[in-house]
Amino acid sequence: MILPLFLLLPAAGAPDLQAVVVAGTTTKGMPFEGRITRVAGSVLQMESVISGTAPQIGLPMEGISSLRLVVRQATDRTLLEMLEPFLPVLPLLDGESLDRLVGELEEAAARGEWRFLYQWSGRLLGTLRDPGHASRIALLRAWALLELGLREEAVREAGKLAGKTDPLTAPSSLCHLMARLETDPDIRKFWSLLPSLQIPANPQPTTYDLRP
Amino acid sequence: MNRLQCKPLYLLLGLLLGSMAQAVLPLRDQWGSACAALKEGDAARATALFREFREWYGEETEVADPAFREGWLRLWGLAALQSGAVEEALPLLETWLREFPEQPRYRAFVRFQTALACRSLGLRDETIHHWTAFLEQHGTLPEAALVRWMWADLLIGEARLEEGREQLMAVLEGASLPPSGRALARAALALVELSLGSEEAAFDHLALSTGKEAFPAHGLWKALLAPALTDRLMRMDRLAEALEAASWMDLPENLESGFSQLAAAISERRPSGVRSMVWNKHWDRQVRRLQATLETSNKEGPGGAGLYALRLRALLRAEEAESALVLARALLLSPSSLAVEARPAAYAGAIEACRMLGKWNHASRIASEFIRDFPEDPALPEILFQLARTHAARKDWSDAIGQADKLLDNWPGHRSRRSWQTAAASWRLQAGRPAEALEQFLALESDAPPSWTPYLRFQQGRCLTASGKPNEAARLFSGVANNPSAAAGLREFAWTELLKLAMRDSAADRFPSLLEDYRKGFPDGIHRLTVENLAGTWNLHAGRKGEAEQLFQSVAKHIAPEGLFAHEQLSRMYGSLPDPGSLRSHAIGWIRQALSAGLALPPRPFEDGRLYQERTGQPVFPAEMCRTLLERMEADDPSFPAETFLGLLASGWHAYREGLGLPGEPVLEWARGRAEACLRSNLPLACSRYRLFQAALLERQGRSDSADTVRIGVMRSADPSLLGESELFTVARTSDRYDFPGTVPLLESFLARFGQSGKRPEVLFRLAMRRRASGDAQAPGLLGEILAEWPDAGVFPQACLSLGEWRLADNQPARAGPVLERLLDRPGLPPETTARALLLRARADFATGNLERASLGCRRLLNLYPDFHDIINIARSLLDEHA
Repeated sequence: MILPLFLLLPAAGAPDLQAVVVAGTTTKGMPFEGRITRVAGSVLQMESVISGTAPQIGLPMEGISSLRLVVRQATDRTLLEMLEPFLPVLPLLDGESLDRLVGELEEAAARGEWRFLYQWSGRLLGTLRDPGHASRIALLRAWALLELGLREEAVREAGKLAGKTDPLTAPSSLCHLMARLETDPDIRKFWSLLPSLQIPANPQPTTYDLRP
Repeated sequence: MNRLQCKPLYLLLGLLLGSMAQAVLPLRDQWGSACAALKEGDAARATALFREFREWYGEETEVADPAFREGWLRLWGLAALQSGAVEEALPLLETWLREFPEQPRYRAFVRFQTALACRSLGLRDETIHHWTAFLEQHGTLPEAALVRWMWADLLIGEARLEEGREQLMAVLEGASLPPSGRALARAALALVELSLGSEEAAFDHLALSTGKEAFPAHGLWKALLAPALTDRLMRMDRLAEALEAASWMDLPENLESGFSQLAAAISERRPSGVRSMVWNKHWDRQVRRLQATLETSNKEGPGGAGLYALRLRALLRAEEAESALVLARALLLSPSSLAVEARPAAYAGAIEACRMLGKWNHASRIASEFIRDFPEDPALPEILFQLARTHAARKDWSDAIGQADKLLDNWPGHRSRRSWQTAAASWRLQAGRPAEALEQFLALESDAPPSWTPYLRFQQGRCLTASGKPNEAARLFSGVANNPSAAAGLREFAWTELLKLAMRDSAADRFPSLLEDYRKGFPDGIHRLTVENLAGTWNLHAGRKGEAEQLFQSVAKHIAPEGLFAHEQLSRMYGSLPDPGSLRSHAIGWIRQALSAGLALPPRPFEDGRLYQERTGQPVFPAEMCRTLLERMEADDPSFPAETFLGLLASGWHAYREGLGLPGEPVLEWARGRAEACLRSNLPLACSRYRLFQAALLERQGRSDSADTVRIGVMRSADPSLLGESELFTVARTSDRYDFPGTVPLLESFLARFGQSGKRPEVLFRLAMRRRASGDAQAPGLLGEILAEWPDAGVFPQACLSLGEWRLADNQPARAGPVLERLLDRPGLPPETTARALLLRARADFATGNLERASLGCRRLLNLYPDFHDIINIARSLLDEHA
């Protein structure tokens, strides 16, 4: 009998389950590494890549201490897109992995993909505990709000961020955003001139400069 | 010489062995062992074996054979060098160089290494001998740059900086360095220039090393030298360069980590080949030298807070007041420890920036905040002095002097006391108290260092001039002008004062000779144009109009404030001539000059144009210029005198519209059409200008309501921050007249942006009325500014009357009197204004107990102004009440 092999191929648009490889340790100190296949309830299903362990493992999420994104197979999709079916793992990701995700968000912002940015910044902000990453994402979200025409919300978000930021170290993208949002000419001038006056000086952005 | 430095040699030695060992068969074993040791990388053992070889076989004939001896000496010398036995290696290599001058192979390498060996042993002359020979024989090799660079390092280490500079210049002239190397060489050169006191050259080297020469070390170098360079350039008044250098600064911790990363990256490089190793070693040495410089600079340098304070000072010196205010605000808002450390500088900077921007009240508020919150801060006296300077800037001389005197009483030994005394004396002079000023300058002279004397004598001369003692003043000015140890600028100032005195006294005998002396003494003087203007004025007063015209014309060619003065003098001269042709030519030439220099267009030539059109009925501007001016106006240039220019077009419209290709077009329609076109082209300022012009045309037709409707339209649609002076004034006035809610911000915005505007007093008056209505205690201060600074303004009488009334209403009759007296001293007051002022003064006098003058004032009102019933009724009641 000839098997309809094409049925074994993933359907177009389905998540590439093989692409997201994570490593980490359990709360009991046991290391693990594998490709995420599924998140069912509060259990993370993986195909282990460590020889000598069971090929399929399932770890309760509360038993995972931290998770690191290890490898990404060559694909057109971004890490964020690939992580979409596995959103519950987001709170477990370590700082380095979050850096990669925020980097992808910044690239999306530079490409002007504001809807994508809005959606993902919301997801990440809902799960992150680290204030450093949270403020970077909140800044991107404020940009997205502005670009999507939600000016008042952008003013509120950016205002909160600006209130918490030391002006001497404020990222130029925040200054640029505040200069665009502010209506008072004096305050607008403050934010637009600030980056070039900090030490070290940041040049004035000519377009959307979203690098922190 | 350390092991790392000799590493390249080993590679070279490995390449040379084989054939040499085969050449001397009887000695093969001994020779072979040495070569084997070299192959194994054991240079010390090889050296010992070579040494034994000489002891055992040194006298053999085969060993003396040049074919063998050449290789033997070279390998032994290089092996000894690699093993650290530099004293042993050096004679061997020098012998090799001497005995085999025709040997081209390895010669450059051996010479290079021999020079390094000499240098490591401190043999300066020998080192230079080898470097010289290297450059002569191998000047085309890339390592020639390296040799010159090492030579420069040697000279710099000996403090022979100028010779070191020459060598580094030669490094840059060679084409062999990569861009990153050139950036480093330029940075090293900048440091030498800075040490030589050539700040401009240092700046040029660092500023040049950008773009193609981008290299991490380059940015770090710039940041490292930036504070010293900024400070020194400021001292030289090279303010634009100082500001640029200040923009290169970086925090010490960033520099430390940057240099560490750079040094680590260079150390980790694994270059292949001898040449790469030699160069890598050089870069490593250079970067480590930079690190050492950084360590010193971090110990002695200004630190993060000091860097911010220096940057703030550079901004203020360059008159970048808005940027300075932003930076000072950022420092005051920052919770960092760095900002706390920089707090006094931030407060002082914010006050100074506000003062420069004409934000007097803001400056006073900031100073008061510091005084309230940090009364024990050691910087308090400096902040109080800044407050005094703020009073002085708004010409509130008595508060300024009082504040300075208090400072001198409370901190008599302060290091800045002489500056305070100098300032207080200058303010006394400006306040019309020259005798007190003179006394203070004389007291200073007995206390200050001798270098201050010429300046103090100059100021004493000014005091004497103001006291009506021109001869004594001239003697002092003459002393300063002829004092070769006085600063050149001050000497020139003294000359100009002498010339002014001579002109004032109409001293026909003295002025020409003084002028001649000045021209000879200061052919390129910085006050040359001022003096030529004085000469022009002198000739004009003497009736020599032709000579005066010539002089003013020569000054007017210059793009400078003196040029503007000369232009205005010419305007006056031509305006008084019966033929207005010269006035027109001058106005057109003046506008052309400003257009070609890209300068703001002054209003005066447009006023002259209006005069020309009124007198001749002809259009003043040719069609081509008219089009150019329209383009300039529509290009949203906020300084363009649009109101006058469009007024000119309107008054000569029949002629202008032909030139503009608009036959038959009514001016109102044209203005409306242009407004719409500018709106479509996103030219908001031009659109507002045309619409306000339209309003003026409607007003002229008697359609005031329609005119105001258009103005209100502009007010509702235009961004006030984009409007020019005239437009913003019209919009703010309209808003005030119709009591729109945004009036106060519009008036405040005008005051903040156009501090020197002639419309300022009217705006101050309107704002004061609004503030008073809302119970704001600062309202009298606004009227006070009109009284202090705008005595010729149209609103001056109204301001005096209102302030007098407010003082009475606030139960401060003693403060009302002087205000009203100032008004009553003014000639040519309308009768009703005089009557109102007399009434208010009478009320103040009754309240303060000056009953005699009060009664006299009331009776004067009853006798002189019987028609002003409301006023005399009150006067009569007052008399009855106090009878």
